[in-house]
Amino acid sequence: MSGRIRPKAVLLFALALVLAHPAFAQSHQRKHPHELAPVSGMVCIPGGYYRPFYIVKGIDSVWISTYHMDARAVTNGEFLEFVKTNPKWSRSRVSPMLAEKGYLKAWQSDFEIGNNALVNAPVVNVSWFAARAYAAWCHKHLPTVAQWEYAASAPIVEPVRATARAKQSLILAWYSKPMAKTLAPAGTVNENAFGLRDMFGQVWEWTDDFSSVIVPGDARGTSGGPAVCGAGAIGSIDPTDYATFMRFAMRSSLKANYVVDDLGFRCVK
Amino acid sequence: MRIRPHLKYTVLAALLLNFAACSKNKSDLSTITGVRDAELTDAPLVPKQVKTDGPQKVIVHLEVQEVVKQITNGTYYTFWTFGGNVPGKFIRVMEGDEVEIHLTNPSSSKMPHSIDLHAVSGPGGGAEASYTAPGHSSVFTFRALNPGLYVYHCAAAPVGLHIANGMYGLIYVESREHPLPPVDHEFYLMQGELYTVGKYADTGLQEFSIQNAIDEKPTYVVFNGAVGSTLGPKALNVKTGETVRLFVGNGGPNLTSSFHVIGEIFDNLYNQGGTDVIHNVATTSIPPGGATIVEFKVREPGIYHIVDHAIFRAFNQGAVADIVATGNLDSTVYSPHPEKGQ
Repeated sequence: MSGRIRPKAVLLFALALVLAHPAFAQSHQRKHPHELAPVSGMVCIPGGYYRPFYIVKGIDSVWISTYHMDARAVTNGEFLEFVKTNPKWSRSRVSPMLAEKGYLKAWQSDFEIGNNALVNAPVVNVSWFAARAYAAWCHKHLPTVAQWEYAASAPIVEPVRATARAKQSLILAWYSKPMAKTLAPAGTVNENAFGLRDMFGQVWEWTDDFSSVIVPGDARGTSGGPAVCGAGAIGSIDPTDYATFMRFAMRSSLKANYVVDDLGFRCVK
Repeated sequence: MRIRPHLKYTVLAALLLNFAACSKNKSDLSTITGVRDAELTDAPLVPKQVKTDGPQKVIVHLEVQEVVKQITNGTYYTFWTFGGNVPGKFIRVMEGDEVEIHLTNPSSSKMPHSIDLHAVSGPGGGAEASYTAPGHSSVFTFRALNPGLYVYHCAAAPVGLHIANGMYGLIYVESREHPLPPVDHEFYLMQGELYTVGKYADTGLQEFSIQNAIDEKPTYVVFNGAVGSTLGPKALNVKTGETVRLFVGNGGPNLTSSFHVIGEIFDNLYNQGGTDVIHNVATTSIPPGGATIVEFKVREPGIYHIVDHAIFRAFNQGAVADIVATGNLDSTVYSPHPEKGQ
């Protein structure tokens, strides 16, 4: 699959995002940060307005400044380098407070992956603490939910062009299939117009503030948050966007020391 | 100190009141008298009736399984299930039991799951307490206060999708005062809809259609998770003269069932799955998330079709299950007279 970034598509999409927004009248006067210097392996995501899926206290859009995002999910091979440099994050030495049982369970041992097929596949079974430590080690961060969702909102361009509804069906089809026995190499699945790959169809991904959308009570009632509910649709911008519902539901089921078989991450800068 | 007579009576009255309060506590079923593991069954089987002197702690282990199963010949779907089948395991407890639900979501799952039991008195019916990420498990307890037949289902967002994918089942809370009388057969049936992108009987793995679900236009309406789940060799077998009790639920997610057994009249119907019994009903409504119990005596040999009497669903979408009765014809009840026809 092509790893080429399509500047034209990115530009058009960014323009569409800005133009589509009712706040355009203000936004075009806003000072756009200059294009950031290129970073290897990362894609520049031009700033713009993001409409949160769940509208909180009447804030129906937030400004996202230009940032870089890893073009694909972090791999086992990359994570191994981090663990070698930071042995306190090895399987036998990590505290269960920071990563529960099952952390890096597909690896052969503390410092060996032991399976060539895994080296370039997305790393999974890593806790939020571990993903964050990795990001810090690379002088990066985990994306916020807003950054992740904003980056994911671009249409898919490879292997098939899929906008809005078609993209949603493609994502839902993945969510509703049993988990793949082996993951494809990172960077080979569903490229979007920003040039990001693996956002859908590979693994779930940690976000820095995953717990900010949480289930406070019976989520179908008036006290409700979004994740456990029929009436959870109240407050979300598009109650038919089931693919997005599922990502929010997944995030709110997690705790920071959890590890999950198909949960990985990527970084931003 | 000398006790004055009226004080004596006061003390006596207080003691009596105290005694009355104690015995009232007993009928409140507040004391747990034992522990047992719940017998769990897959449809069409129902767990045996349990009779205990007092309330017990009942342990229920449910494991979520995301599995590919057949809807009809050559047509497959990824079902999300409580225990590997649609509907989920039948749970049977007694009024006053303290039910401890263990929900396991295996690491092979893609989605978080939960369980909301309509038999629970408490926020969310347990959904929040049981909200479980893949590779994790959760535990909560509830007291089965109200006797009756109740639906349970997954309540993780988007809840409609989890139900449409098969995450529903039944729990029966048996009344201590009026436990169900013995019958010859008890069966478990649940109606549910499937919304696919492909048309009815299209072959291959079918995808969920959000649009059809929102439009409430199912591709399939089935009993026990598949077209023909309870037909032919899998039909429910009885003998003439036997009594049958059906525990029927409707998982939905959208359609109300007009539940009917062709050629039978329900002698007893536990209205809406509660404790009020009405008699002589032929067709009854079961809303999505609702349940009912019907009892009848099979008098004549032959095939009895169980249908949703919104009849296109039976003939074109799969909503048929069969009871096959063997035995002798009782001509005082029913007689075909082909010789008198023209």
